[in-house]
Amino acid sequence: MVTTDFPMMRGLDAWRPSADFPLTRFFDSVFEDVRPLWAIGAAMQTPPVNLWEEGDNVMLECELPGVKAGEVDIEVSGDQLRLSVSRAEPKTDERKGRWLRRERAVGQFTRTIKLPYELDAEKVEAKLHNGVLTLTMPKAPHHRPHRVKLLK
Amino acid sequence: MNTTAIEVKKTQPSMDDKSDRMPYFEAAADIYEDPDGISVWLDTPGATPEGVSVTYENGALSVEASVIPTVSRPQYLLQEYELGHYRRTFRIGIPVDVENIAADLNDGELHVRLPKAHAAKARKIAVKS
Repeated sequence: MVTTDFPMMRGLDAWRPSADFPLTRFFDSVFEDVRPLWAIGAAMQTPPVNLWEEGDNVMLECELPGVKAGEVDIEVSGDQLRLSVSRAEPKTDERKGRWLRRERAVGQFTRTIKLPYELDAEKVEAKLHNGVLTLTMPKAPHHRPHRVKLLK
Repeated sequence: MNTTAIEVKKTQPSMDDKSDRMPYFEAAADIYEDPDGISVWLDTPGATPEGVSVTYENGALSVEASVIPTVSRPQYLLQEYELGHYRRTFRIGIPVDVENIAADLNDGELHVRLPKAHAAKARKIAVKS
């Protein structure tokens, strides 16, 4: 049997400036299941992404723990990125035991993200490493600055 | 006057270490109990095997996983999550076969298996007639 976590171990401090306020602590201990958005378990439909620019590339990172390369499908057209992921259930013998906690989302989700630039779709690279998906997406040529050479 | 010298720690976090100021998050967990033991799965995306520590002490399972960011604080166009390390502790209410606790990390998913100690396993008791 697994009992509750240590209340001290709640890990959301960084997002809640009021974490040290005694009442907040109280409410946290009452509502045991306060969690970051991406960890609400089955309610989570789309894992969050981070997006930034790096020179001529648009970069995207997405946390996909436990997801294998074959379970991710990425489509790019113009300035649209479509991300489909399916995540399998943890392997257990359902007949023999019971779940004590289920916080992690499983199943399928699809998400379309509109990017600030059109992409050079052929050159988009995807990498899945340690449960983090990283996309390197070069901007379409007409979005890149044109470098002018000086005549000698 | 009676003064006690207090040792001052002089180490400074290196400015290169991007992971230094990252917060700790509670990793989402699935826990399954079967007749032979307990399985715990934790989502720790970005964690590497070198950065993971699993300890079992006084009936508590503690897991810590550190993440090394790939880029140093970029100017985000869109930021939906914050990078952070993971930390979580569970109290396990049954005797565990401590020697045989095993953990493995696969694609950012940490799995810990805690086999039950012999005394904690259910036994069928034959009723003599």
